[in-house]
Amino acid sequence: MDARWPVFLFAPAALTVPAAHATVYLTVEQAQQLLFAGAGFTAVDPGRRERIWRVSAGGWFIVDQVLGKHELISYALGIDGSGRVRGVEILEYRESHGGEVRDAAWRAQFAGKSAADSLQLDRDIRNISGATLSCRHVTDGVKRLLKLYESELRQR
Amino acid sequence: MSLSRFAFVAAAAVAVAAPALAGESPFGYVYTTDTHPRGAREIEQWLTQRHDQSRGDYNLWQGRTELEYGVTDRLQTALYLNYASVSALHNRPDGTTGPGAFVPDSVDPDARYSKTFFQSLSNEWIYRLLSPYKDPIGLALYIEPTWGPDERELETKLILHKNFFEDRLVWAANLTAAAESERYHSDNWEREGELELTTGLAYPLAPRWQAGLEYRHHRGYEGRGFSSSKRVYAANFAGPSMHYASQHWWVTLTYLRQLANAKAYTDDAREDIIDGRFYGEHHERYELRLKVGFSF
Repeated sequence: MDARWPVFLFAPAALTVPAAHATVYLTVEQAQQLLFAGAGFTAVDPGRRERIWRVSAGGWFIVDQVLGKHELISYALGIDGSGRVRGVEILEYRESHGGEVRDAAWRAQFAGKSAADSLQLDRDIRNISGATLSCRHVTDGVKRLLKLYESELRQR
Repeated sequence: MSLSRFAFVAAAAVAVAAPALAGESPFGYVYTTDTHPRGAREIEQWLTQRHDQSRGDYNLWQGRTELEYGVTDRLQTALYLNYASVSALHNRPDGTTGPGAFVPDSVDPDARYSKTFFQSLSNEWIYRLLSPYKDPIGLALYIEPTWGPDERELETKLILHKNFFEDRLVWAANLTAAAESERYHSDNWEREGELELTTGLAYPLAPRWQAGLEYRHHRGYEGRGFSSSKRVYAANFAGPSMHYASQHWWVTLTYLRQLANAKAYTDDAREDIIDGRFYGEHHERYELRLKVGFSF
């Protein structure tokens, strides 16, 4: 190989920036109190992928993860005693784009939804341009947890 | 200040000034339909090494410094500088130096030819018609005029993008048609056409890491148009790619090796095929491309 290397070969070395790290927005305990203030929580079904708590005031609190573009997004779902979404909270988000799913107005769209709703992006849930992947995966995640409630938790 | 030093200083200055994030492609050669949202900006630095012709020494470094901007959520534009450094010695099938890619006809056949030069300025536009995240398949249109002292080109692409397995597996394919005029060989402008199919698959190996495979089929034509009577050659490349995305920047490395199944359709082109590989018109044994990008 020719030993003559042009100077511009080393331009990418100038692009070094600090390493990334995860941003924790809420702990599980904080999310529990936001969605069910003052309630008690009893963990059930340890060892499964989703972390599930029965809420003393009635309802369920579930923590799960969905894939963003490269990293997992941790989120919490509160389901009231009638099987409707009480709220969605983003616990941890690690990526550069798509963090708009933390926006309160976007998350508020899920309130009152149940397993009977189709929960489709751009139909039931408004998409955020530039955060489409995160919006779709969080929406699909909430939908999956509502199905889980319907099939496993509702009759308990 | 020489061009290469200027490019280095410019890239370094932009890097220091840029604090933030990136949207990115897992491929070195294949475009996906992912575009920047409105108002988002990204700087990219590309370096491509094209190495080895039929014999002797041949080494070409191509640099590209690019600024991308999201005009709307579906429309993205980019402006970039292309520059290169070529070094050749006895690289032709007959053992002489040049002519070939960026090596003029008038070169001394027994001496090394080296040159670092500004190649061109390009303006890229991508419009996304369908999103792979909301529609059955992603679809985007691409157009890119290029102007340089010794080349003019208009390149168009049709970009397809489909994800599988909850968006873990990424597939993309590009159909490219380009019409160009260049005068790297002599003072006379030569008209050429190129058709290209590139496709790739990428899958996450670990958080932040994606591994991929890319394939490139490239056809060259004389003059204007893409009729079979104007075909000159067809060459194929394939190889792996690796992509890493940080919260603030990303990097992609792709290695493509020319497959030994090139085809020639003219007598001149047949002379440029050695052991099944085509070495005329900017073709080498392998290409190595490094891309680094981040938003600001």
